[in-house]
Amino acid sequence: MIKTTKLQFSYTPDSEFHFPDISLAEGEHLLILGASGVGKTTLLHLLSGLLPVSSGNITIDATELPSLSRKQLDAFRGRKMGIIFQNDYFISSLSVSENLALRLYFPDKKKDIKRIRELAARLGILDQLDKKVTALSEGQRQRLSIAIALINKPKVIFADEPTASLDDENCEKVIELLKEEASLSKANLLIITHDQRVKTMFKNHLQL
Amino acid sequence: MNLVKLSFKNLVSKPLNALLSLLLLVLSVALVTFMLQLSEQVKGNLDKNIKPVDLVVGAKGSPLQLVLSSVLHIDAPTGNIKLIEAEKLKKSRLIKTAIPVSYGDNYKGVRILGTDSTYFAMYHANLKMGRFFSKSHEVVLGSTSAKKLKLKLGDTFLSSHGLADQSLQEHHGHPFVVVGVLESTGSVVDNLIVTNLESIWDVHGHAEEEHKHEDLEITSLLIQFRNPMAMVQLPRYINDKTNMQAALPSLEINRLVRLLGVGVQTIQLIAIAILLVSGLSIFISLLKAIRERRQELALLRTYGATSGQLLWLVLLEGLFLGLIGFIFGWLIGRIGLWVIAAYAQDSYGYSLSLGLPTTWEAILLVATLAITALASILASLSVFKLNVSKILSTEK
Repeated sequence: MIKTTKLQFSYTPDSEFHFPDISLAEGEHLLILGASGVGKTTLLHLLSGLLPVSSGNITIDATELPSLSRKQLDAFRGRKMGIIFQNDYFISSLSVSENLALRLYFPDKKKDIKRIRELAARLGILDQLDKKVTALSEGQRQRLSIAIALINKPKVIFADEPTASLDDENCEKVIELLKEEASLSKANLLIITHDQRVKTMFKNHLQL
Repeated sequence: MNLVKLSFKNLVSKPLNALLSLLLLVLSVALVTFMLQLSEQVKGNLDKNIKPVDLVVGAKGSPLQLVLSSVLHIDAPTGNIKLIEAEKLKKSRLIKTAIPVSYGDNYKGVRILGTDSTYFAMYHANLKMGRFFSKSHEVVLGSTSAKKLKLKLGDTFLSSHGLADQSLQEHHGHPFVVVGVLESTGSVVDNLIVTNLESIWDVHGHAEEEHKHEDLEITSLLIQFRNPMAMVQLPRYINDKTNMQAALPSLEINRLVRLLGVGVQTIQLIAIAILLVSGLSIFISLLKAIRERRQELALLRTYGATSGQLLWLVLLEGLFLGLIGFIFGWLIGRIGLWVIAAYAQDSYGYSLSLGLPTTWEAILLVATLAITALASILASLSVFKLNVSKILSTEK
């Protein structure tokens, strides 16, 4: 469940972002569209609590984000959210499976090998588990970042251009997987994209 | 996967980054370990050897030289004293035991000491094999001397004049025979050949004639006091009223150790300076690592890591560095001491042992970790200022 009201944010006093209110019931999906510079990524960072709001309110899973302390926000994010960033980031000193296990460590979850292998198999990176992340191809990296976002069965999945470097076949597979995972845990799925292929796969759109 | 594992992997994934800090740390820890052990062992060795002897009475000259020669057997004697005068002194009720010692000869560089059986008792030296000497020209070997000279019971040898293995002229007609070998005591006795006083007199020209008592000389008298009063009265009496001198080994050795201590302190100050520089180097290399890995640290924040956990991550990496540096430095320091010990044993008959880690080494470990921890904490404070949103949206 996500609800935002009169969300505002400004990096500098003379540039202010005003965002339309969002209201999603449990398990609903939303595609966020818009030209570069309109604040798509900023909205995602506000919703995930990485940026503090200037004014307005965000409620996720019955929790008001602005009322949480920084530490509570970190814990909340670790437990309830899965984020796929526009650029993929990993811990370069760790292997693929260790990167997945690390995502489970911070929200105090046990290392779940079965879950890691199952997710890796569905994303087609099962045979890459023991490799260093630096040895992966561009497409494999993107799929790994998706796997990391899904591994803790989040209540909200944020995805910033998740299909940018995927071919048609993998693009469809990834969106299907995101939808499937979201519905399994009744999670909200918010995708930021300008990918025309994705547009047709969702009916709920928000144009910024 | 946990923080400890992650910080270790981060450290070893780019080993070159930390190499300089590690080398500095190893160097300083090795130096401190080495100097601590060396000075402690030398001091321990000296203490052990001088402890049984409260006072040395010998010919006038340098008191330090008298102690070095008569107690530690590493210098030439100041001269000889008359046996009669020494015996007069022995009657004093301030004295518990007085042991005469006499020198003059060596065998292959090992000193032959003439004394009586009380000398063994003073150093708690027991026989490993054979028996104590009962007549002239019978000798008992210290454990190290026996090994070094490869002599067995019943072997005979001729002594050379002087205290070092330099003189070509051997004494003839007075072969010594080995009758006993001592157990190792860890004291100077190990490095001696011990015989009775008569043997020393014999090889120095009194052989054929009857020993005339008033002509006999000894090198010095080792004295144990009966009570603390003796320490005040006896030295003054001897120095003022006789033509002998009295030297307090503990006083003289303390003087020597103080002199050596200046050198030891200088090296330790240098080592501490290096340790501080290595702390600075760790600070800089961690700061650099944080800058290089700021995206990874920001990513961990999105995984639910708190800033405190990120601080731990960097701190643990620094502590690993400190621990690895300490272990290698400590090992190198110990190996260095071991090499020096082998050399000292050969050249000076001075035994150093690799004892268990001392309290000082524990303090050094704590100090090393404290310095690395301080450097790491200072470096890792910047994780609190990490702008996660900015790093993850603008940088690749």
